[in-house]
Amino acid sequence: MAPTLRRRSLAALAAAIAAATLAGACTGGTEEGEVKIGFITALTGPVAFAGQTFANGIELAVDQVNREGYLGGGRRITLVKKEGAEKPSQAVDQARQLSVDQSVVGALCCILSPVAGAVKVVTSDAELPLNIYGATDLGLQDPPYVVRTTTLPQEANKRLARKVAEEARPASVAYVVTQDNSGWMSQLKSFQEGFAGTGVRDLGTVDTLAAQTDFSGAAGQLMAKNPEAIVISTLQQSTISLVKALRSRGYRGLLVTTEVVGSPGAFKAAGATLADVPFPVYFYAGKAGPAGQEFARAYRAEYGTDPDAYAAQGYMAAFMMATAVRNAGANPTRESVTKALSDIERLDDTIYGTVQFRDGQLYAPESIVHVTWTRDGRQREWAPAGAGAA
Amino acid sequence: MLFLQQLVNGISLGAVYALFAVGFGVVFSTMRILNLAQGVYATWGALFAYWTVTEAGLPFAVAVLAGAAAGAVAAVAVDQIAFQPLRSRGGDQLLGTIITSVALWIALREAASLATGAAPLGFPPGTVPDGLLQVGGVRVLTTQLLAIACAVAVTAAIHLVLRRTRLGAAIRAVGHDRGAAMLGGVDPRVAILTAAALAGAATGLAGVFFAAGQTFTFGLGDGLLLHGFAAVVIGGMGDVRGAAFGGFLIGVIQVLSAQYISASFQDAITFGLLLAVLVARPRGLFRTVELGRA
Repeated sequence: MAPTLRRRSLAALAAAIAAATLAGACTGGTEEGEVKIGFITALTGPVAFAGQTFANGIELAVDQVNREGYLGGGRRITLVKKEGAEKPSQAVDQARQLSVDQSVVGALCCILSPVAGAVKVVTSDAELPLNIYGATDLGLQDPPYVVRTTTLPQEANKRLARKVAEEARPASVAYVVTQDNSGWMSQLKSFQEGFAGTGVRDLGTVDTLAAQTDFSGAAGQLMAKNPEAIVISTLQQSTISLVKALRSRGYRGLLVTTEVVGSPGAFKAAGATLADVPFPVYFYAGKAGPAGQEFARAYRAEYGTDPDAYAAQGYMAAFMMATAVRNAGANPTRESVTKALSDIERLDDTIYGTVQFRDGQLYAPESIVHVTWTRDGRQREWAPAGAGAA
Repeated sequence: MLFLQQLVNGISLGAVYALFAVGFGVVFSTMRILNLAQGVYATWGALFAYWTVTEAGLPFAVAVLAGAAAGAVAAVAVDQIAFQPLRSRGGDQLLGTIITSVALWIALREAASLATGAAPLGFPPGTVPDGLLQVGGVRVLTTQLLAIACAVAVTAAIHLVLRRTRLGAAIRAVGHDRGAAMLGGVDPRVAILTAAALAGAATGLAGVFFAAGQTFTFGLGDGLLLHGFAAVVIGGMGDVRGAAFGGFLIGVIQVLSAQYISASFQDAITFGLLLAVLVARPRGLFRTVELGRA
């Protein structure tokens, strides 16, 4: 009998340990005053270069919020990081893990629109509030469970097109687009809307594909149109390759593109060929308000470089989530954070200045700045050197 | 004039595909391996060339050699680590080598991703020959001319090695019948290593010239793999000249179809041609000459 009893005792002990472990896994073992926010990172995978910069901004914001006691009551945010590699299947798996951990009351995710689209289904089913920090496809936000602090490039592109038309006054413009990507088609349309009615002649659009890697043919097509300006609405790698292909073949007209070339990594890959190519950004330290200046100073101190648009978007995403947690009361839950997040209609003194939220989407049109790279790798506000001349 | 301009662009793009296809064809015809890891050799060739100019500060000519050497080393290493154990078991290992090469493809691709932080890379201005030749209204970059010259020279050199030297005869003999070659005094290991090195070097060069005029990432070899494979099938697995011809043909078709039909259909047209050739001439356009026959 004694061995049987011992076996039963051991089995009961093992079951108790297993139950305790499972319970711990489900609640995540929250400490007093700790508020857990899930963060699906993209530190590996196809856009790791951008994922690191977004992560820098998010971590800087959380450090600042915790250091300054922004949440009040001695509470502090802990990021629960899960590497999603910006691949839909992996990111969805990580979203599921965050969803089952009931101690996680909010989540930050996603640079690529297809990944965001897949993840938001999982988090919404779990009633876990999600803030998308980088994906740009129109309509991804879906309050109350999904909001987005990504600054949408379409309005910025339209304004840049108008500025180019009014100040550089090219007689004609040609476009090149990543034709098999709805996000880039949407950005192309915003440029075309900006040029519409300005008198700049539209010479047509050259299509490229997302998987395309050689742009000699596309450059030949564009130059054959003899435009005074070329608008490039393509993926980052395609944009840099097109700029190189056009400049190396002697194109001297005005090249205009999107915020995609705004990161230091883009300049490193392109070098001085990106000089004097205007693109729009929502965050530019040179024109930012006090909060933006402080963010830029802290970012330089922490990471040794100026923050780019991705870092700013990461920072803003974490700051908005922290604001929702603060507004959610002393003991934030998924329900209260969801309500607080979707109730935010306006935030003052952010790094973008005053921002508005409509239907879960951030708007900050007043912070748009048109910048360009200098030949030595600094950014400055763009002003046309004169009328574009091909 | 636009047609001539795009024809030149197509030929220079085809030169890169040709270099890749030559390497692909040598491996298949001598080792009977459909090596799907071949594309990653191009990636590593481009990366070593890039580091040669950016980290070591050496000129582009040295970078080209470094890229070829990196491709050769990668090819030999992969062969000895992944394929040699399968060969030593004997029998037909075609399926096994395909699966193994997929594993190597993923592993080496991820290694390249980690090594570069998945960031886009580009040769800094001034480190690559940046001359521009204008003939009439046609613009030709120095790097395009170099790619075409290199593809022609490498194809001719590998063809001559395989056809006119004892080593080449040994490689062809091993490709045809390894056992018989051994009975004839051929060391199959030397022949296979030489073939792997030649193929890797040609593929590494393809990577270097592909990367020279634009930005690239760790995924550089993926696109080359598909187009290089199509080039080999179209030109014929058994002759490096056919593989090179297939590469040039695909480059020209891609650029001209994007210009005159639609960029959206350029891959559909390329791989449609592949299907047509498979149906009409299953051994490729150069089917009359088979490298496998010693």
